[in-house]
Amino acid sequence: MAQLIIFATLIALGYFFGKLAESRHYQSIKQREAELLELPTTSSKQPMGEAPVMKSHLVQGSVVISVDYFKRIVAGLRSFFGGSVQSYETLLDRARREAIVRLKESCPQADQIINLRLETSSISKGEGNNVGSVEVLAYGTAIYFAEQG
Amino acid sequence: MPEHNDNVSHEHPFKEFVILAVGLSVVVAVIFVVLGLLVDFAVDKVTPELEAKLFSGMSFEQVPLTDDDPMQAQLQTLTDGLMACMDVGYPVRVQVAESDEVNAFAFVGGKIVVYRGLLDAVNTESGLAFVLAHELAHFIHRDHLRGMGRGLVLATLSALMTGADSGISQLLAPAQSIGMARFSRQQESAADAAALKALNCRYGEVTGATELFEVLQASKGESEFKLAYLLASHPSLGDRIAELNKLATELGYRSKD
Repeated sequence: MAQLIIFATLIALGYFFGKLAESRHYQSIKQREAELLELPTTSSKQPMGEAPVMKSHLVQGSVVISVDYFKRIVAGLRSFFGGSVQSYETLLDRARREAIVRLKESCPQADQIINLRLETSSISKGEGNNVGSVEVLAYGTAIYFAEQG
Repeated sequence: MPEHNDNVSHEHPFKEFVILAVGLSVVVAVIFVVLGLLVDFAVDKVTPELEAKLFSGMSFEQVPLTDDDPMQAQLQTLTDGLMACMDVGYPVRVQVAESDEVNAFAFVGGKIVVYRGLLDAVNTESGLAFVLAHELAHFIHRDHLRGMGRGLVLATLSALMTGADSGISQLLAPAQSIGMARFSRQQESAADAAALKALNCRYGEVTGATELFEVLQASKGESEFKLAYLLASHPSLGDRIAELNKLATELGYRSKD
């Protein structure tokens, strides 16, 4: 019985604090994405448009986000029955967007970012197959056009 | 900026948890019930001869057993005498365990282990005979096999599907003991009743049947702890004494108590 109570408490804590952290993070992401909207970003290998390029360099942004207890339990139940693991979807969505936002923030003066790539890796806590945290790395090339005139 | 995030599901996360948890509980409950029926079916097919063949080689490692305890010969004689009234189907060996705990167990293959603590607590021959008859009744009812069967199959299933130390297996473990505890309490009451009848058959009276329980009750102040018995595998001492007295009266047994 004590085990069940501890379990329920952990789940409740994970749920409420996880939800809080998630909604605050999403607010921050949406706000910064809106600010950086002016910086075009593509996965193409060529710069968009015909303007001469003055300089270019590698840029990257990365973030590590951890899973909370509630998400882990729900994912465990999912592994029993199969289907889309909703609880991890928001986790990865946030991580991807945060990584891209950080990449853009690292080069505010750039005119374009091309060749955008994303890499995801799991940082397991050593507890078998459980994913402890997830790291997303976004990298690309920042392009600066030559000044006209 | 896109208004709608297409990379996430928009179901409420708690709803997902509730649906999955309820689904899992239902699946486990169904498996448990089906398992119970299967185990009962299989146990009825294990004859005493088969059980003796399969299990008489197993040994009880936890507490040191001794063969030269002075009480052992007396216990064995008592047991053999009781077997005239109770048909177990294979020879039963009694051994004493050197421990102060007041307890006795029946093991697969026909072995009864009585703890020294119990021998010290019970002073009359008929009191001891009742304890031995109770364990013999477990053998006759095949309770020891049932207990082993259900627990083992459920634990194995859980370990196979999710790993022995996974969250799911840990979650199933306490639920297991709630279901099994109630199963065992019915078995304990049945064993008590059978032991009472055996005592009457052997001695012509049932003096001393409740001696062990009364001794335990006096020493523990049991009435305050009724709630703990919900999850304990035995009915409470008071209930056992009351049931035995009621049964003795119903069947017309004589007693000097």
